[in-house]
Amino acid sequence: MWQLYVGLSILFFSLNDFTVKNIKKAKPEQILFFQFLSASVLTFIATIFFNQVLKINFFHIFLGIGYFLSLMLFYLALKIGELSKAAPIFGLNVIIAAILGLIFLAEPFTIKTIAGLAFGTLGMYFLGGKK
Amino acid sequence: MTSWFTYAALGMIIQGITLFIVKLILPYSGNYSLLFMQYFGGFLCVIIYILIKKSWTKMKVKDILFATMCGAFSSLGVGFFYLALNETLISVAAPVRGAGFLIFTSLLGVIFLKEKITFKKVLGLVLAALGIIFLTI
Repeated sequence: MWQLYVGLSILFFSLNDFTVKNIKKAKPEQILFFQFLSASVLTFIATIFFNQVLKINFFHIFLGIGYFLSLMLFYLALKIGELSKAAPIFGLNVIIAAILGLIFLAEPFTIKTIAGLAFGTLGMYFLGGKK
Repeated sequence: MTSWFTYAALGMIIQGITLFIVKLILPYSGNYSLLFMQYFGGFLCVIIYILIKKSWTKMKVKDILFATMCGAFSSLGVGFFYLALNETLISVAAPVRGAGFLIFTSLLGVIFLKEKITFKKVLGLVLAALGIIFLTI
């Protein structure tokens, strides 16, 4: 069953980027306004439904700012670039999280990590080329 | 360096930092409440940005509908991923989702938006997917 859930997750994330690419006239901040509004409502309902507690701390402020800035830049990239290039590059954000984990959380530096960082960086190089 | 690449790369870096912050907070809060904070925080930021830049222009109803649908798509995407995590390990689900997302999104671009398939693009996609798999298993 988890395969179906992951498949649906992939489908909805891809549909998100595909839909944004197809919004021709609106500015990225306008798209984000409606996207964040509807997502806030849905996740608030899920929070209540699953009986989770809303606690605000210092890090949550950075979370909102970071999410806004990253999507704003990504949507700008989608406006002028190809979906099949910009989306994979944005999807490589796990590389940055992995590097930060290595530096600040002293996570183990394994062969898998080195291979992941190398493949990801090479992938970005080939996707970012002009032709 | 092309400008779309600069935007995508900067967005990727900031998203990576955000993901790292999520990793720090996650043990102390619920998945959905954390997501709510993320979206609601983003919503407040976008309001402040629009007010400062005075950048609001008239939008078509179709675009408003599409943008609202994006909120549902991203929430459902995360929601289904959490459901998958209830049944399997993150080290199994995350690489499948990460690599699958790259390939499926690119396919949508190629099939429906008639974007070109080049050798460099395919090579870049395969390497990026491998990178995600190795980093998340």
